[in-house]
Amino acid sequence: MSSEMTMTGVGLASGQQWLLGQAGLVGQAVSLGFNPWVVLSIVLGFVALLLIRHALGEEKLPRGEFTLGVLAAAAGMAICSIGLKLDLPMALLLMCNWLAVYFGIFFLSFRQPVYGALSFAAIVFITCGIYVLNGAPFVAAATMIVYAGAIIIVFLFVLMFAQSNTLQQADLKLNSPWASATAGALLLMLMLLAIRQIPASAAASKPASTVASLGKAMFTDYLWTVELAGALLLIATVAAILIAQDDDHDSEEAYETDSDTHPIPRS
Amino acid sequence: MTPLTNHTLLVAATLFSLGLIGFLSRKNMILMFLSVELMLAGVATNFIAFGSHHGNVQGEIFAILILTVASCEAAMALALVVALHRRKSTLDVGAWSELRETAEGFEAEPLIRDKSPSELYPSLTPAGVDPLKKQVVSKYNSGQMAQKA
Repeated sequence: MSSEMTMTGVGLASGQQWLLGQAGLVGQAVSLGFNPWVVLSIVLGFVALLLIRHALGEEKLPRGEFTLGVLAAAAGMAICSIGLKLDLPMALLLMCNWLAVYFGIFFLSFRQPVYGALSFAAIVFITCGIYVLNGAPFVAAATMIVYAGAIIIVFLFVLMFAQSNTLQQADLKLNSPWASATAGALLLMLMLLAIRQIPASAAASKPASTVASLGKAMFTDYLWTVELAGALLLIATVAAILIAQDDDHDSEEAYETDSDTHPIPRS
Repeated sequence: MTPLTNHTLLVAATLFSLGLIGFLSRKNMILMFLSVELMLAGVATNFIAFGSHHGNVQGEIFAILILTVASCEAAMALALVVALHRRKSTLDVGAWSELRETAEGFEAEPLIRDKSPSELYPSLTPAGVDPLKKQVVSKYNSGQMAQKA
């Protein structure tokens, strides 16, 4: 019945997300000022997102269009950074921004949750690059270890446990895609307007924080915060173990029915 | 504001909006939690940007705190997903829509109760309905009585 309908539903949503990603890129272009190089790179970004979106609309991922889209995006980034004569951190930041937007759109467009989790891991790596460019290497390393090393792995374990091989209805249908995409686009528009309102000022004269200064601040000024975070982690561990426990043992019937299959006789 | 901070704020805003769209539009519970994590990543990026802009460590410390809370949240959320999947063997959030509030003039679909008697919980008066105005007949009580009879 609804394979056609559900596919169009996913296509609609990815179309909205495509527009939203373009809105993010156009916001970057506006903040860079009107420039022919910027316009050219944005046009290439449009082409890239069109190709990628077309590739995602198919049943299987056509590799050629996907590769072409990624190449067009890379060309757009290169034009944007070379044509504007940006310095290296700025060019790297622009590249990270584009990659983050693209992988965010992939994250929302894939039907398989495993691909969503993997593109989320890619987003985490890209945001770590952004942290490094903003002078926070310790947070970047911690985020990479905790997110990509622990959280994504746990997500993948739960996906292996819970997700069946075939796609379920929950993965194919979307929950009012137009309304949610409109809400997200409105929020993004408001945030872009707010960011443009911030007055320009010179960079802070103080040097970027080092790991030593960060550790000193953490264990003197913010000691209570660290202790509370540790207690929160402990409580969450205990609660997660308790919640995820098999609760079949609560009822008496379970013992009786299980007794013949259980190797150890119960008294 | 320097261009570096400006562009970091832009990508943070875009990530937050994409996470919001994912949370509102996806039906898979695991993907909804991943979207929330995406929103948290956007917020942490915002903190890092402002911390480096002002040249102090407070933004980084707040980002580390967000990281801790996000890992706690992921552990709890995945434990809940495992527990919920064990009950109904689906990841669809729509399967749990009966947990919502019963509103006046809105009749929820009746529950399918084919579980063991230990699954029948005592019922409370649904919120949102004035018990003095309208006599509330709970479906769960009637099911229990039918089973007793």
